[in-house]
Amino acid sequence: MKKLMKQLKNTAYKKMFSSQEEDSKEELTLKASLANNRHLIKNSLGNSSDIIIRDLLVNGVQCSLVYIDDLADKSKVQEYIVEPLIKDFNDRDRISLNWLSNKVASPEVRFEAKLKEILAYINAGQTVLLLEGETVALILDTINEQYRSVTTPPTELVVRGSHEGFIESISKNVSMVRKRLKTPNFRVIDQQLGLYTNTSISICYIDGIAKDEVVEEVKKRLGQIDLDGILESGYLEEFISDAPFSPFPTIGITQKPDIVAAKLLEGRVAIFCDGTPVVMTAPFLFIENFQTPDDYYNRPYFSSIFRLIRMLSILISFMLPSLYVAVVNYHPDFLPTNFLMTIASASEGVPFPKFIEVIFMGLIFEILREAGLRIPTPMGQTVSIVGALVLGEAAVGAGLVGQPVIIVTALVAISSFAVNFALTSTLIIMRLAFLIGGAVLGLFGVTLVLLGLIIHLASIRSFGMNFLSPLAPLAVSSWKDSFLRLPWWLMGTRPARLSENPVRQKKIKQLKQVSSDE
Amino acid sequence: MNKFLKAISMLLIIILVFIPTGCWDNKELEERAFVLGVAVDRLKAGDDILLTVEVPKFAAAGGKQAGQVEPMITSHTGPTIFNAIRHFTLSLGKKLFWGNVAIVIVSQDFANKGIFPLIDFFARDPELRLSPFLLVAKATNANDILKGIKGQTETMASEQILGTLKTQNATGEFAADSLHDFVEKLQAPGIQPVVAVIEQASGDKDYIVKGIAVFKDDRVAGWLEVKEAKGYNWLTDNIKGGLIKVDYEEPKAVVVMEIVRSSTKTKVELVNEQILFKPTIKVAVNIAALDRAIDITSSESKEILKKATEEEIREHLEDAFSKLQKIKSDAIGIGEYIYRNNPTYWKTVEADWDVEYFPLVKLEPEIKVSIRHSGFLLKPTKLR
Repeated sequence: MKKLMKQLKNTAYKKMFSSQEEDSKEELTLKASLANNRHLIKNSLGNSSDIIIRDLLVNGVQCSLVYIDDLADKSKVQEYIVEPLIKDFNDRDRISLNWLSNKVASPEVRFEAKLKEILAYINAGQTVLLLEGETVALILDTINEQYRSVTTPPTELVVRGSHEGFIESISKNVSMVRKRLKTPNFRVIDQQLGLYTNTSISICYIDGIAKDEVVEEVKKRLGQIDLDGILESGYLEEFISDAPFSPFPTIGITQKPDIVAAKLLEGRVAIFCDGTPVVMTAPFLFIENFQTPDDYYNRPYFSSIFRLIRMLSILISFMLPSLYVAVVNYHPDFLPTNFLMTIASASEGVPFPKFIEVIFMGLIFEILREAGLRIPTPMGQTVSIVGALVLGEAAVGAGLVGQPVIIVTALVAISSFAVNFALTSTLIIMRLAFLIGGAVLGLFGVTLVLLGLIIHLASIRSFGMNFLSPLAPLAVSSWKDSFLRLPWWLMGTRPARLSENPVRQKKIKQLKQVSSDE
Repeated sequence: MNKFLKAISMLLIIILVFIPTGCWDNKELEERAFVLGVAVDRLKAGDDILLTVEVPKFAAAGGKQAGQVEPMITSHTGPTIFNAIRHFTLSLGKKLFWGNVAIVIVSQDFANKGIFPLIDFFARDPELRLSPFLLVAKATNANDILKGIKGQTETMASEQILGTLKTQNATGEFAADSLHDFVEKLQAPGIQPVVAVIEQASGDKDYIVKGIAVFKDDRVAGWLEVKEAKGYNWLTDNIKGGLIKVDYEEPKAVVVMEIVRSSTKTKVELVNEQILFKPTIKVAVNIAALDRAIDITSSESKEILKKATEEEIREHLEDAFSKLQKIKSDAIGIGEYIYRNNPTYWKTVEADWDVEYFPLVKLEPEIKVSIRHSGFLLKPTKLR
């Protein structure tokens, strides 16, 4: 398998290198002639119809504005550049680019001579001001910042705590996190990825808390990506995650700035990607699948109970169908007689084996889920009616499936929604693996698959951290925030080995004494 | 080793892992018939065994009668129990499943000849368990009992009998021992197994469980009637509840005591070659009913009641003990006590314990009764 992948990669690389032409625009710079420069830029952009070139006469000197329609905010162009420049100026002779840069009202001004850079700025929505006789262009910030407003992410709802969610603008997203971490130690490293998309990527961390090795590793892995386009952080995730074949995600994703802030405070590194509200965090541990922001905002009893319930539901979601098939088909004597008789009477005359029944109902549920996701909202009700009535009631009524199978499927379905959304596909794969184990070998098979699963989980890593940490390797100090969530005033340290600086509260010892004195 | 060979050997190893895991069975529920109750009889002619089982019969799911259960009782014969079991496949169309058996009834005939074949089969076969309760059908065939039950509180006869056995604590008039208890006592030195007795009942009752069958090894050696059974339960710390009827002398009245708590601590002493069995019984009772309005609040009357209760219990103990000595079967486990505490002495008496030594053991019980309260009434309701 690995060899095959390597081969595929190699051929892909070879193709890429052979097709990649020498970039001729690289060395080109602006000339002193305005007409020449205009022509150069227009040609480089292929005379696209959405390029707008506005010619201006500033005190008799010819100059041109180049920007792309709608990428640059026209009102900004008007307000920042055109309006200040069309005034009459007294000092006729001193018109220069430097002089102009003092006259325009743009908040950000840069000088650039290289054509390649200039084109990149134009593509980003900046406006380029060219002046007759100058070999340098003025880059003015007119980026159109009309984005979706900040709303609650529909996939990560909380009862208590911030309802803010990320949007599609990377600068806005980074600022939303910085707003929560008002420290000079907050660091942002920018990077552009994707041959054609030139997507902005930001790596954020807190200096002194995050481990330098992890930051370096993230930078290194991102730097190795050589893809033509990055449209979503998922593209990056597949490139930089440690165990690409594992069904378990080893990079965390979230749409909530408060979660990112909390993870940065634990020593993790966040990777922002322009154009998506999904931000990745690394290293990502298995235990994080059970942690939600609600856990930290509510009282520890609440958090601990629901964390245990989440763990129970992942077990149910993994194993219940396989346990049902295994116990009923191989070990019916495990069940109390009355319970067994109930199940037996419900499956009398059902034409299919239990395994097929469970697979069948599970498949129907997945189809319903997928249909529910894709269906236009006005028709959503149809799905629920067809799903609930036709499939549930009728299948049992017609004697096609037994009632216990419906209960098992429903319980699995509900449980699968109680755990991290990113695990959905993992759950389906693991459920199937368990089910086959249980159907072929009974409880022995279920145990075998469970063993395999634990071996797999213990063997994978995420950016230097063992995925199963703090369970394996054992780090009892991190158990403060794994199965249970201890009160905040007891959490004196950050998760073990994750951070450069493990001390979260310096005064924890005093605090402990105060509480024990009382 | 080349890749191909490596893959083949990996595959073989994986397959081999599955082979040595022993036998187990993948069977859909509807291919199985769950045996809930078993009755074992010995046919009058020859040594053949008549095996009767009760299995639930389910209505098809999805139909109008879905969820309904009916008991079905069927029997087969065979030279051994296992043969008889296999014969069921000839007529049932389903394979009997033995993991959920609740009760096993053996007939008096069968028990008289020794129930070893049954015990051995239940202990040996992996599908069977030792959890079912064992009963002896007195003066009747075991299958007649099973067939005669119409199912008054439960659909399945076996479930009803199981329920009966589980309420042993309400009366203490029989001993509910499972096959596991039986096997354990059979193997332990100095104790003999006992089994609850089920009898055919007259009138509207299907059956009645009362009394105890005392075994000597795997054969029935004698029977304890209700009063003796209660005494036996007291001697073996098996009383969890029940009633004691006490006669009050002055004025004449009958007082019913309800046992709240009872504990028995036994001690065996050896004094001049005489074995003394000294159980200490602590009983807490409530006054449950009076048949006449008498004053029971005074300390004197309480004292009298206490004495009378103690006397009543003592009578039970002595009845049971003398009966066991007559049967010559140490079902109490005095021998086991000696074996544990004085193994050298036990070696000298072990061979003839039940016949020679046990009948000579002297019973010296110590009984402490405490009366807790008298229900919701302090003084009896006055009659006018």
